[in-house]
Amino acid sequence: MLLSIKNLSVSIEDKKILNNLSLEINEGEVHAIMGPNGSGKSTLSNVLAGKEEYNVTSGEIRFKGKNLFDLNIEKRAQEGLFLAFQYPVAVPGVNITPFLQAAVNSKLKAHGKEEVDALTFAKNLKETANQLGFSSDMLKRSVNEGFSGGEKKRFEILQMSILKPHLSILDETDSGLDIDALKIVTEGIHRLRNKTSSFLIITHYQRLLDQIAPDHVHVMTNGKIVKSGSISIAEQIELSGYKKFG
Amino acid sequence: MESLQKIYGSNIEHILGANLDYLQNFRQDLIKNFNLDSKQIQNNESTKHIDRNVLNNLNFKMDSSSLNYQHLTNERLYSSIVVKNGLDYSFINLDKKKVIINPLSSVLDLLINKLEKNKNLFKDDYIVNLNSILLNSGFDFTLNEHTNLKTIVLHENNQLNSTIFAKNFFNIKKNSKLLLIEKFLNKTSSNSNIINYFELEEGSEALHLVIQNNINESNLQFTTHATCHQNSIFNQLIFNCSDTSLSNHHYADLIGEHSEANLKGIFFVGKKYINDNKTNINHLNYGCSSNQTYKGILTDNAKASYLSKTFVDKQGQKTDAYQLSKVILLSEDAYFHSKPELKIYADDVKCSHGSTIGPIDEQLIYYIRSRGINKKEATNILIKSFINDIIEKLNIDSIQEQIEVYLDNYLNQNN
Repeated sequence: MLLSIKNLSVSIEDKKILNNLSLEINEGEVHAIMGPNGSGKSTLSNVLAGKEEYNVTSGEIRFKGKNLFDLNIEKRAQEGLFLAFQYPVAVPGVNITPFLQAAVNSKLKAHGKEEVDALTFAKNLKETANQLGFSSDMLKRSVNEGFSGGEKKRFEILQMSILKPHLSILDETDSGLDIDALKIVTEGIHRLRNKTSSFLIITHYQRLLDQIAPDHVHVMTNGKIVKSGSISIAEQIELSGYKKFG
Repeated sequence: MESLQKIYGSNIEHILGANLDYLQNFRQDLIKNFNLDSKQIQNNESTKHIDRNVLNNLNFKMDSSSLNYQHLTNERLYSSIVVKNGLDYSFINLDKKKVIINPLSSVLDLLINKLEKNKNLFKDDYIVNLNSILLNSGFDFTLNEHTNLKTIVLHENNQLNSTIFAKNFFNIKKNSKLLLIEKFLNKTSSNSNIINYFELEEGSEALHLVIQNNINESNLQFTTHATCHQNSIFNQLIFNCSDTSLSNHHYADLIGEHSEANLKGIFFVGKKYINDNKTNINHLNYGCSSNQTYKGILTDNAKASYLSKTFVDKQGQKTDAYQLSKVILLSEDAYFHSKPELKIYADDVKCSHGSTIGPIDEQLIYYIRSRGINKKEATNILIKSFINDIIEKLNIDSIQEQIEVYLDNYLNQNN
């Protein structure tokens, strides 16, 4: 078991957002969560990533057998948990290449491995970026600064491809993307998808799931998972919305 | 505390030109109007933000017996000046065809001329007036016409509880170019009050980079004034990562057409220390441009202020002036006071200012940490990015690297 969430309840400023939520993800599985706005999907992503403003009132989360609540934000990332942000923030003045090198080296260092030098890293980054359709010029820019919405999402996928996480959480990464950008997202997922890499994909749209073919689709309303099944659930939602799951 | 008259009298043997009539009268006039205990000090803009302990603990002890010079550079490209305890100087690589340098003690007539010429510059500035009254050191530096020079000046004040009052005059002749790096790396409890006057003749250019890394209550009041003639450019960057209280007051008069002054600063202040910053640029002729940009990081119980002022005379048509201050507060107990001012008497100008104060953006920290980078490193990355635009615009790799060394040391020790 890669990720196990049991009876998780979370609130923020006394407002209950997640309500007794349970979910299990095995190695190599792709799970999708669909749900109406305000159902708690992004809260779940942020709680998994370790954002500190939430109050976990009950439940437990184990990741790779470890109690996730014992790990802070960076330690979770170093363990192999990655969140592709719904709204990636711009970090002016921080160049993409040294930023990602620092991220990769933090992970290597945490696992007692030798850090990668700047030259080797730049070469690897350029190769991966080219495969995902990024220009070399883009790698000279500051993190997300002046990026369009689509460029930001594509950069999240590039980071995911470089960091090679065990569990990638994609929080509405497909929202607002055109067909070409959507292909980059699916390509990024397919390239990493293997027996040990798992995905939790949060989306509103069937079109991404059609290309990815998730192993499990869950419907989330009012802070809990109310239905789990195959991709056929996504087809039902596309046809008749979330009313029948409320 | 003792009266200034008494301090002056008991230290007269150390004061430059104390036996000369002009200087005696000049100083007595200043002393008459200078009351260290008055409320005026608290209300005077030159002193109200500085650490009062500095003014209350003047120690005027001088000793030249243990002078030992250590120059900072072996690079042949740089000439080097070490000013030891304000009293003695050592030079290397100074080409006499390019530059003439004299200690003020050997050119007192010149000092009198300069004081007379500049007497109206800082009439109500207590720090400058104190410097003029108790002046005990300084030098005159002239860069000849059509000459390029790179110079490092290291100010060393390593004598416990000593006080230095120095005036240095930099005369940059026509079409010359000076890169001047000044370093303050004092480690001993002391106080230095240093004023640099820059005179930039037509077509000349100066880049004045100041690195302040004083520790152990080695206080500094550093003042500069640049007079810019036609088509001259004065660029300044103050990089203050000191672990003590400091004041930086920097002024420029754009008296020639199309002259330019850019006064920039980066400051880090922590613990209980006070950092008082002020810049003031006067646009006195046609087509001049200026930029005043200060950025700071405050932690613990630190206090800092930044007063910036742009004055545009009615002769200053086609002025292009910009002011900006940005400060990150890393502690709820840190305090920053910002006061940008524009006084414009010409009608065809472009002037703007901006000021922001706030904590570091937690969403940015979260984003960076979510990539596996710890909180300290994430904060350091954001601090570096915050000041990066100022350092990058220096466009001289070797200087950027020097600043980055001091920056890394500071961040490793303090965050």
